[in-house]
Amino acid sequence: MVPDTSLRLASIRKALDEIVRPALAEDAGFAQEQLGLILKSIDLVREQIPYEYALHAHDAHAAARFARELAGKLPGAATALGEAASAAEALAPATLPDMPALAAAVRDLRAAIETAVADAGSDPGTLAAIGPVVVEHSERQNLIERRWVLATGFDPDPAGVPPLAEVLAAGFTD
Amino acid sequence: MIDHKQAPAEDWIAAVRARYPTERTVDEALTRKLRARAGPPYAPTPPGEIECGLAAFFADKAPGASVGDIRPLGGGASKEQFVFTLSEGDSRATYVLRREPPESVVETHRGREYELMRAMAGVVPVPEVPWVDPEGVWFGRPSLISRFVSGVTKPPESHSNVTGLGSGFSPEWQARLGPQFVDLMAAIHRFDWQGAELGAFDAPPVGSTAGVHSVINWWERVWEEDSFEPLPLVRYVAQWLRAHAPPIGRVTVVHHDYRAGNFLFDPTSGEVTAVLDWELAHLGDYHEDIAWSFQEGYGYHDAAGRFIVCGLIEREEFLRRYAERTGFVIDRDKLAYYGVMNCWKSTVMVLGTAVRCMIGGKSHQDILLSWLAGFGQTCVVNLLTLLKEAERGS
Repeated sequence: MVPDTSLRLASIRKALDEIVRPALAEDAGFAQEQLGLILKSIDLVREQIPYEYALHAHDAHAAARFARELAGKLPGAATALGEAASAAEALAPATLPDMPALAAAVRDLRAAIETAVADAGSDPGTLAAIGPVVVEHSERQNLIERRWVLATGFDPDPAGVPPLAEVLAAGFTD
Repeated sequence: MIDHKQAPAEDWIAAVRARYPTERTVDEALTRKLRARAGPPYAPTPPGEIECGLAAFFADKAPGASVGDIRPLGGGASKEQFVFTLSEGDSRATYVLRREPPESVVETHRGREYELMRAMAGVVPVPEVPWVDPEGVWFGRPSLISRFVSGVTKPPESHSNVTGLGSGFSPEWQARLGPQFVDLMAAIHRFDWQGAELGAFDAPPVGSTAGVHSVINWWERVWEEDSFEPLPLVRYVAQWLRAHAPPIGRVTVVHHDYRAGNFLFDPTSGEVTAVLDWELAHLGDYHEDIAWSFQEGYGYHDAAGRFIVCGLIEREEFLRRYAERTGFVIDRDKLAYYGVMNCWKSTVMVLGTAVRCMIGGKSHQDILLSWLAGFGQTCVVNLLTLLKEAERGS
């Protein structure tokens, strides 16, 4: 997905800092202060985004351990704590999610596909063989990406694009 | 988001140039872009810098003239623009300085734009272009100065998305502008370019696919240089275009971005006052231009299901009038082919180059380029549709 959220935020930050900030009146102290906080908040969010899912996963396991240890000391609460811990653990990945590594691996995989297609050349027979595969996968991926940027207002058929959760889930059930 | 393309090595640049041979000056512009990529990001130009640059430039080019009223001009996703006045004795005229940012959504050659705009003067309404700084000697980056032309790109009452895409024209405006839109394209294509000074352009041979392959190489090279996220469809379509390239039967000037938003008109008289944005122009097949203006994203389907080209004129009416004005044969298969090619080029620009600009913070319009990613996905939708239609027809 390009631009990713972090890159979008970098563009937003740049426009605020380079275009909006100079346009604010020097005596608009409150607006200047708010803008300063917005810029710092954007920097903070950009640092956090790659680790947000990992933080949730970590917290699920950490809280589950906490709950189980506490359950051993509080027999009256043991059942409720155990069930809550199990529910969280069931949804949390067993290993630490590494979003930057995952993004890099997906990009490398797509690059390998792209190279294979480019190197296949323009022989009509080869193109006829790979064409349907390329088109089918591109259509599925495009549906997700259209949904991702639907709010930009360019989509020719916004009502025809399913909700994001639905199109993402379809990729795991096919 | 950093990769090897963000600071390209000289041997990688040489390999890319060798793999995708294209026009000399296209190669010059793209190579210059790569060699400057590792440089600093865009920073807003201090008002005094443009003032000093203009003063020095005109001290050399028009001694005695004075520059004033400098202000930024909005609009345009690819170049910085500044309006200023130039006074010489009793005369006073308004001009526009178009300066390249460090990188932009399209990397083009100011010398080509300068030559072609001068060649088209008197053929279609086009801003007078008295000066060019192709190497950025005077303004730090390549720049071009044209006469300011008044006019608007969309009716005052319309509410379009950014950059003129999807501009809304009422039936009254369609009646006033639609015929002119066709006639001006016809005039561009009828233009006898062989008698013009167009030394920056490589003319493709008639009856050959060489010029088509040159264009495919141009844009696949751009994808190779700029893309961050691989998109296998782009490579597949490049090969498909090579496999199906039609020979060019008649070489004409191709504006390459002829659409609503890229011409000015007088909001009172309805007369077109200028055709703009010639930076992508080249010599090629007129079907390429027609198909460009036929892109779905630039028009709409009316209640009867008819496609309204650029929101201005119904597609079949466009073709009938164009054929009348030019006498050229319209080859529907070529239109379909160039429809695929143009959608593919738009995809390259928006999902490849625009994202690369953002990664480097190289443009004055990074936020707009970020927003245009939404248009990029529309390009992919349309590309897939047109590709399937063209394959059914071939």
